[in-house]
Amino acid sequence: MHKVAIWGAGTMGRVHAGCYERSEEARVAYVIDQDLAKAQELASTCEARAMTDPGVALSDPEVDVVDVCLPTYLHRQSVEQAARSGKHILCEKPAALSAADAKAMIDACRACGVKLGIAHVLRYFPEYEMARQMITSGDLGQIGTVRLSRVGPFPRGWRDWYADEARSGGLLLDLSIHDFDFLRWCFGPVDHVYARKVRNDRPLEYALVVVRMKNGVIAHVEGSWAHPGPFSYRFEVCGSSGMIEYDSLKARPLSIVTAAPTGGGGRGNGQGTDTGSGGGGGGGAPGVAVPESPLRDREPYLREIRDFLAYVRGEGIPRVLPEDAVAALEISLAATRSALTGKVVSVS
Amino acid sequence: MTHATGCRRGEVGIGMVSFAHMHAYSYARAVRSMAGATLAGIADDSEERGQAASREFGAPYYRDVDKLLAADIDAVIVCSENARHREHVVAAAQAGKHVLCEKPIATTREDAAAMVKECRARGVRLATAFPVRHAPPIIRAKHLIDEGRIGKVLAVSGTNHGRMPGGWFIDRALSGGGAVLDHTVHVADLLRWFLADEAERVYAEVDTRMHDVAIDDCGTLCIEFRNGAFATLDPSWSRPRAYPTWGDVTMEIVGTSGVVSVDVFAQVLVHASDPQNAVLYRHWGDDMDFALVRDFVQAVREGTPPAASGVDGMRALEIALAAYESAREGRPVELSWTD
Repeated sequence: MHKVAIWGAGTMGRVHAGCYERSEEARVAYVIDQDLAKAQELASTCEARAMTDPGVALSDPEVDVVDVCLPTYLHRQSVEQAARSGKHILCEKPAALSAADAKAMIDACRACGVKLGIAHVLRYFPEYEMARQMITSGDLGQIGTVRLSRVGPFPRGWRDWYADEARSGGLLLDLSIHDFDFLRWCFGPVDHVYARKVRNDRPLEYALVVVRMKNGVIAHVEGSWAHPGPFSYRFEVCGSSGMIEYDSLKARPLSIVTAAPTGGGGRGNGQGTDTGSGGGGGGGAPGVAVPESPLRDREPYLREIRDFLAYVRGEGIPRVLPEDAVAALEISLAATRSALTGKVVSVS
Repeated sequence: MTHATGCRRGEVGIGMVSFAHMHAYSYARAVRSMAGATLAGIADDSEERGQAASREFGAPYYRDVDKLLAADIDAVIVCSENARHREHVVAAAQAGKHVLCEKPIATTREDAAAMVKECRARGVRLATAFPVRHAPPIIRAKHLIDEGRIGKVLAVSGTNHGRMPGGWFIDRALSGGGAVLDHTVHVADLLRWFLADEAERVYAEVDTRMHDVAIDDCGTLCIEFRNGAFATLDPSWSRPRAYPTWGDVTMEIVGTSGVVSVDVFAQVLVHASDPQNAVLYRHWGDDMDFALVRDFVQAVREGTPPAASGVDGMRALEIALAAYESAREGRPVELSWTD
């Protein structure tokens, strides 16, 4: 039984904590957050200890896994600190704000002999897994165009850290990185990108990115923190012998509408996470349908966590290597640079 | 501007110049069913096609365009192959006939400019066939934007997907270009209309990847406007034969205070047909081709400007041509405007 310290009791910390508990392979022993009340609230759901200082958890020899769910700008220092304490680390995506930071994290973990996972959970979403399988199996023939879209409202994090690009890296680094990682996973390296992005004080961010893969595929990535409605994601892959399309707003096997305010929950209710999944707790106003897309065996966050725990035990290689996370980060950074300069940016 | 009234008891006489483009059939049907308009003649250099259309629509057939232009008509609808638009539009203008020209207006900027110039010189209307401007979901979107419902428009993500049409569309000498020329101009026109602004920069990826053709079949454009708004557009011939419909026109329009999403052809029944072994979208929304022809007939009768002019057609063409240039050169291309 793994003993886990969750570092950061925000949305992702809550999602991950729930998965460890359900995995039956781990239990959450500590919840660390600067905000003690938040730490206590989450800790109380899994019989863990709540604290504001990571020292006790990191020095507990029984803790073998630290799960870093802090804002992006804190990833490097916390991962390095956990590595020095000899803990294996699962770190939320994006790995860091710069490729140099991400590489330093990888180096630190290697030097300390601990394992590092970066939680690019999209690779565990069954709809994306199936799309990739159809692409790589040749079902669609030679792929010509790919369209990926991820839209939702502006995220409200701790002290509004998403709104500070110096802390979050902005939309392309935080949100569109899911789709950049998916493109790499399916088609290999990116050749170049051309991106346009707008910010406004509503607040909102919206970006459109034209991506050319080295294998010739033409991709388009839409990222939005400008859509006031529910979080949603879509994709379309077109090839010489067929196409597939998907819209999370249409894949809704269940929804609930009630006369009185309701607590939401479950995959696809669109609250909280940037994959629109596993959020839980989104309340529905009276008369407003709250949709869900429930999964059990294929639930992406749980499988991600189980895969990482197996990796920690030396029983497998994770689907997302830290090097993949660095490569995805480099695409995000290239797109960010293109949006700033108006130039085509090559991705090494 | 001359006001043609015709001598058919006030009806506007329309001639069809060529049925090379399949839209000619729905335009001809629209003229036939429209009060105040008469389908007065058909010219087509394919005698077989022209005779068949003549029988179908009950209008006299002329082998030569000049004979049609000498007949008692007020205006023509030109649906010849793209590269022949100039020849037919200029001839019509010289005969004093108003013109509705199928899109893209031409295959080169020079041709488009010459067509605009000739029509101006002869005092005839030149309209470009951009039927999507007449689709009620698009008109509603334009109203919502103009009312300020989403604030200032910041960006648009657009698509105009289609099937690979084959025929002369993939013969560069006649079409002037593939998917990017065929399917850029509609949304480029809508963007100019919605934003009331001109494009100043175009970036594009263009390629042939999905069909065994010697012309582009896919691409993605990024079009930037002078007011700072930007848009992307996917004009690919990426819809398989097995897809339930021919393609789409969609626009995700992001403003400072909201988003308008338009899916122009969403008004459909889903039809599962055993005889056809297919699932088909059956469109029940308004007929935009009819509305386009009605607008043109009204422009001819009343001397009012049509929804989209020849200059509008030329501007949309320039965006498509800039996309090809960008793809060749691997960089964004600046547009310079000369009237």
